[in-house]
Amino acid sequence: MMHRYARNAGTVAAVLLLLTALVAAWWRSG
Amino acid sequence: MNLGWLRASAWWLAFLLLALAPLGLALLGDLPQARPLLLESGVMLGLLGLGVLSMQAVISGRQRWFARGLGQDDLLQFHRQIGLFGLLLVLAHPITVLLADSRLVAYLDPRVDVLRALSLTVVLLATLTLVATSLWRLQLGLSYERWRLLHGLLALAIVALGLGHALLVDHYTAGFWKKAALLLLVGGSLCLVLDTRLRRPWRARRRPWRVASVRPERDDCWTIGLAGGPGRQLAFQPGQYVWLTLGDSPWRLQQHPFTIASSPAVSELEITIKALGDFTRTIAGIKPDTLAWLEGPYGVFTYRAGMSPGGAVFIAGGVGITPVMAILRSLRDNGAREPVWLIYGSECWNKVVFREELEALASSLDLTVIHVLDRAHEGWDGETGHIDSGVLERHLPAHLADLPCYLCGPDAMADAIEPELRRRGVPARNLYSERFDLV
Repeated sequence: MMHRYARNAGTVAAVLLLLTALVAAWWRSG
Repeated sequence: MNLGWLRASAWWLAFLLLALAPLGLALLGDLPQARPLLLESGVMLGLLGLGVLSMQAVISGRQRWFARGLGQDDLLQFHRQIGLFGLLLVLAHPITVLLADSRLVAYLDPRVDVLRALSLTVVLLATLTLVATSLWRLQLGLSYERWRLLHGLLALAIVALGLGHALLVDHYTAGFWKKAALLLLVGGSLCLVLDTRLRRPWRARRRPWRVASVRPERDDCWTIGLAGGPGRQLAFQPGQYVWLTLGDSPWRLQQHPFTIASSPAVSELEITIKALGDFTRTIAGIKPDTLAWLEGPYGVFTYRAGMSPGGAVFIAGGVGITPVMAILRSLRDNGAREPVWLIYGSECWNKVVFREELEALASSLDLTVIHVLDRAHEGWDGETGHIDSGVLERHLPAHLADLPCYLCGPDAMADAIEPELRRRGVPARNLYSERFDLV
C-alpha cells in the first residue's frame, strides 16, 4: 500500500472516531 | 490478485471498532444521569483517548493476527497519525471537562488527593514527552535504543494510569462487570506490549543464529551472513524483513528491522546494511560467531517467480536495493522467465551497490537494469540526476499499468515517484512501496 493512503487512513479514522464520540456525548446529554 | 486493499480495509474497520470499545462499553447497561453537552463531550473524548492509545500497542506490536498482510511502514505511518490524535484527545479531555465544570479542577489539585493529581499530571506530561521524542528523536539527541525503551515505558505508564483513572472516576465505569470488561480490554493491550518486548525475545532465545561472515559492499554497505544452526532455515518470501538483535541476549535494546537480501533458496541468511546511524556504523566491527536473534519475517513487499507473467517493475534508491536483490536472486534460483525492469538510483558509479551481481543477474534473467546516477563520471552515457518522469517514460514498457510496481528508497524518492506511477495508470493496489528511516 502507499504511504499517503496509510496517512490518510489515520486521519479519516481520527475524524470518524471524534465524530462518534461527539455524537455519543450529544446522545447522552440530550 | 492483490488482496492487500481488502485486508487493509478490514483491518481499518477492526481498528475503529476496537478503539471505540472502551467508549461503547461505558455506554452499556445502566447509565448515570445525563449531564450538559460540554461535560459529556469531555468525558467521551477521554474514553476515546483510552481506546485509541490502547490500540497503539496493537498497531505497532507486530501481532501476526493483526498486522498480517500490511506493510511495516504503512503501519508505522498510521501509528504516528493515531499517536498525534491520541495526544490531542489526552489534552482535550481535561480542557473540555474543566471548561464545562471548573470544580473538577480538584482532580489536578494535590491538596485534595496527592496520588490522583500526581498520576494525572504524569499522564499529561508523559503523553507530551512520548509524542515529542518520537517526532524529534534526532534533534533531541536520543539514541534509537534509548528512545525505544522510553517509548515502551511511557506508553505502558500512560495506558495503565489512564485505565486506573477511568476505573476510579466510577461514573460510566460503575459496576463490577463494566470494570472487569474495561480492565480486560485495556489490560489486554498492555499485555501485548509485554508480549512484544519480553515474551518474543524469550521465545527467540531458543533459536540463536550466528554471524557467519561480514563482508564490505560498495557505498559503505556491509553484508552480514547469518547461520541458523544445523537444519534450521527461516521460511520467508523474498522482499520480507526481520527484526535483528546482535549480541549475547535477545533482550538487548538494540533491535532493528532489516530486509533480507538473500534468496529463500539459500540456507544462510544475508542482510545488507548501510553504515548510516549509531548502530549501523558498528556493523563493520561485528566479529564472526557473534550471536544474533531474529524476529519475523514480516512485510508484504514480496514478489515470487510467475506472480505476474507480464513482468514486474522495481524502482530502488541506494540501499533500497536490498529487497529487490532478494527478489531477483530468488527469480534466478527459480528460473523465472517474465521480463523484469529495474530502475536503480545511486550517487555515482562507484557507489552502485551489487553492481557486478546485477550484471550477472541480467544475463540469467530477462532483466533490464537502468542505472540513474546523481553524479555522472566522464564518459557516462546513461541517465543522470534523480529518477523522474522522463526516466520512467524512456525506459518502462507501454503496458506499465498492468504490472506490479515495487518502490524502495528514501522518503523523497518515494514521494516523487508514487504519484508519477499513478499518473501513468498504475492502480494503487499494484503499487508496493517501502521506505526507510521512519523514526
